[in-house]
Amino acid sequence: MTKKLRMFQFLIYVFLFFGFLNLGVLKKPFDPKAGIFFGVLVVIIALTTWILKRFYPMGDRIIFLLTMLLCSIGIIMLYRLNIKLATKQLAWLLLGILAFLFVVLFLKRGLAQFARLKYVFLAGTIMFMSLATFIGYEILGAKNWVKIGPVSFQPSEFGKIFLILYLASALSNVNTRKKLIEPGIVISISLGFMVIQRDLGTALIIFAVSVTMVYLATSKKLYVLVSLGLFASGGAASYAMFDHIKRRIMIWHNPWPYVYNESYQLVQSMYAIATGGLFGRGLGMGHPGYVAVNESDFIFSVICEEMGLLMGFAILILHFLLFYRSIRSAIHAENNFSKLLTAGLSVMIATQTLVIVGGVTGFIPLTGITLPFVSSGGTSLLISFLSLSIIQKVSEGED
Amino acid sequence: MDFSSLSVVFRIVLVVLIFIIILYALKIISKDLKRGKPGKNLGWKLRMEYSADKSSLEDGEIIPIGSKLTIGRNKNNQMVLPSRAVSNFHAKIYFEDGRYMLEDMDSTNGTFVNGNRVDKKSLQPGDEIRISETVFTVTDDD
Amino acid sequence: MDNLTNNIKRIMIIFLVVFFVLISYLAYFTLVKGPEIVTRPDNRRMWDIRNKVVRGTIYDRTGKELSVSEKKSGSGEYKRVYKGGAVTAHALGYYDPQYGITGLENLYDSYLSSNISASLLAWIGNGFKEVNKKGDDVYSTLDYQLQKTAYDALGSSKGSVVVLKVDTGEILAMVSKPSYDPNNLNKNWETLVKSKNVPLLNRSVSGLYPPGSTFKVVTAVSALENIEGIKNETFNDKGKLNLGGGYTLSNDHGEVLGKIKLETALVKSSNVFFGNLGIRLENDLYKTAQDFRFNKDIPSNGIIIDKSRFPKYKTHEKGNMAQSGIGQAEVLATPIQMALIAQTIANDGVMMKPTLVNKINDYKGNTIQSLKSSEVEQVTSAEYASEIRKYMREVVSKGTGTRAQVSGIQVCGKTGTAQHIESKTPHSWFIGFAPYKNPQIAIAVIVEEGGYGGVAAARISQKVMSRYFHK
Repeated sequence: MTKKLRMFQFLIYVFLFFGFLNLGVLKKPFDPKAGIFFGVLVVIIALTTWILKRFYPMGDRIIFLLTMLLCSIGIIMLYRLNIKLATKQLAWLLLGILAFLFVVLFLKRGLAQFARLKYVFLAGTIMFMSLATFIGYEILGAKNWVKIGPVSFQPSEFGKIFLILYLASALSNVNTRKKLIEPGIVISISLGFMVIQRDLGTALIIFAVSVTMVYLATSKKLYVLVSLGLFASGGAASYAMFDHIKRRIMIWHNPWPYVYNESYQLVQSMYAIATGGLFGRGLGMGHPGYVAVNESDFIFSVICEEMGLLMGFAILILHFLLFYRSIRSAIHAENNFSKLLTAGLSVMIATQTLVIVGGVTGFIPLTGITLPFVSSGGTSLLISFLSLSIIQKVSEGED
Repeated sequence: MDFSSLSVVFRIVLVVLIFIIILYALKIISKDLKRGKPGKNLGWKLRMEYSADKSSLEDGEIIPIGSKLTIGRNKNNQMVLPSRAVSNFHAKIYFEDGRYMLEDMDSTNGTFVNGNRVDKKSLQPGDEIRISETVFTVTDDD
Repeated sequence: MDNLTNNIKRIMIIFLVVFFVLISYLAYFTLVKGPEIVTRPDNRRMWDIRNKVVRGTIYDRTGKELSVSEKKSGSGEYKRVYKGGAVTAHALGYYDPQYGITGLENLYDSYLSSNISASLLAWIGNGFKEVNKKGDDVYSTLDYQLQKTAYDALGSSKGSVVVLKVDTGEILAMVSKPSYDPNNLNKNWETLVKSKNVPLLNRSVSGLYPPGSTFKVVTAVSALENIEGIKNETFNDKGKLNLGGGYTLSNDHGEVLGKIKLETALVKSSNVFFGNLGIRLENDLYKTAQDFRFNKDIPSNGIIIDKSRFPKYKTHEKGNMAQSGIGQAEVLATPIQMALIAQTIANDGVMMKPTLVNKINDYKGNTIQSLKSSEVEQVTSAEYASEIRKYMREVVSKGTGTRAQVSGIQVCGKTGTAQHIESKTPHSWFIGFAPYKNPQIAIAVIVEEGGYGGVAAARISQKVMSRYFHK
């Protein structure tokens, strides 16, 4: 087992080596910064794995390695797009890993105690979900960004985490139907705010996470069916009520008449993926400049263009393996709160991947969210790593 | 050198590499899929690290856990530890919900995992269990 | 929460399925839909890729350059220069970063902008030295001189001329008017797009016209195939055919032809006779039209042909049945479709796949693809085809098509005067082939609002055929 893991880790280094060698030779004679990036990443991975192994020998190291692989693909692409962005991402990655290690190593007391903070989580959920509605500004058609001082961030990113914490605590001792009413109301309010802020991607994630957690807590398929029914009718109602939703659906249904207007981003993303083909055009050989927000929401498209559809498949497979490993660790959880928390966080990361990849390829209506661990973005990366640390913690079988 | 040609090599190498890595990950992960069949346990074992009384068990000996293993001084236990400091029915390890659980049966002197006294805990490979002066480690090696 | 393991397993399976569906969609999107999406003119990426390669040249069948990439003076960029100008505009299409890419330029783009010479293999083969990035050259089947003759012959009229080689289906000329100068798209684009004469439309393959009396050739074939003894049957043409409900069908100029047989009916173009056949043949005529590939895709190379139409009428719709027998009602055909009908009759009933490209040479001059002629199918028997040839010879020698005669060559053909809804002046049609024995070329000419087929269209055919046979 450990021998195979070591090999796995070594292969990641080899991947990074070729990736940065490729980036290095793009500039003549050679770009030394690529070498530095390679070195830093290798050291980060080696050090973190060593710490995990040293202090928590029984934890699931595959989760961490899968994540690092996703981050590596992201940083390679970001380096090719804009070295400044890649440097920033590297710094955030470092910060994310530190936060991750902090939670894993120093949060000695069990997670279960946090279950008591149900109403704190409830308040946090409502606050973060609603924040952008009142003081938010619009980026790319969604009013879901907030600027406080020099820092802009998406409050819904935090809202999601608080909602999962709240649900884990509220659903951990559901024995009567009545106890489902309060979580149901909180979920609906959160969804409502997302629709108003035009952040349909987050709405979809909230829905998937909530349904999964309710199902895990109750084992009743009926609730899933009822939720699906409510979601469908809610969707139909929003479609009738809001023009921005109608427009989204229209663009998704047939983007071609609006190539220079509403569907510009989607179409450029589709061109990028289609032009790339199976093996891509090669790093530095494509035209990521034509794709909007290529470092964040559309990073999947530019990866497909330059590194190929097969690399796109790899990202999806890696994310699925990560999901499998994460949700599986819920089995090791000692109490309902930890179980639900782990499952909720795993589903959040996986759904986010599905929604954005489905969106940029025109499979489902496009909504702007980040691709976890791959996209550039500080808050998103930090939050993903914090979620991961909880999953990792649970995978160790906390006491 | 013509870079557009070199880039062909690079993109193939990168794609091939990532899929080798995925295959590797699958190989590691498939191990617990194979074991995870319902009704079966994971086939983990205990390895005797330090045997206090030198009577029935020797250091380095491997004891399969099976689906349930009871530990205590009483002869009816599956694993008998004759030491005075061990309660009659001291602890049990059993397989439930896809994982191994260690449960202390209200013993006088307690059961320790990785140095912490526990009542009930899920086990991981590498965990160190101590009962009285006897020490085992949990292992998933074949 | 006791079933946790099972529940988690279920959730895992659901996500596995969703991930799998997304991956399948991605594969479908990139591999199946991708190639079509990539070539859309608003995809700037393809232009960047194309710009890295010196685009290949398009030649005519004699080796004359028709479309070449020339270096713009003062900059390193290349500009497409069309040596044929407006004469070959529709056949070749245009290639312009601003307005996209059409016609042969579009259909053979993967060769013309082929960057095989930029590939790894070429690089290794050249001793690891950079290879000149030049696309493949395309040799078209066009005969520029013939094309020019047809273009000039049409003059200022709207319409189209298509000339095919009978035995191979090669397109020797394909003219559509009004035309445009592909070298000056930028200057004229607004007018080109707004003009109600739609100069950008390639009428030869996309213009749908009522074929009028030229369609009687198809009706005659159907009659030979389906009505026993029709050759010798006598019919009394009283100049009018009663269609019921007060409607009648009459001959041009109200002529009364009296007791006639199939041969005379075709030679004199009797509407009464063929209208009556339309009613008698019922859905057999529909079947024959389909055999000639009405309502169907016609396999082709270097062009895309719009489907000609022959609607299926109910037997009680006598009026429509009769009208369809003389190529009116809602029957619509492209000029190339009508040229193929002439070609099929000339070629003993075998339709050949129309093709615009003969061969492709790579950047070193090696032929990498040589296109062989292929049959579409045997549309009718050699015997019936030969019978119709006899009639069509009579049309030109002493019937409605005498103006298509070429000295020293036995020309065969059929005229058509097609009524249409846009104006009172009918379209003028001529389809034909020559020589009568061992036909070499087949032709279709349409002059929009050109009046009688025996005049305008037959004259153009005469000019084109003279040019071909008396160079």
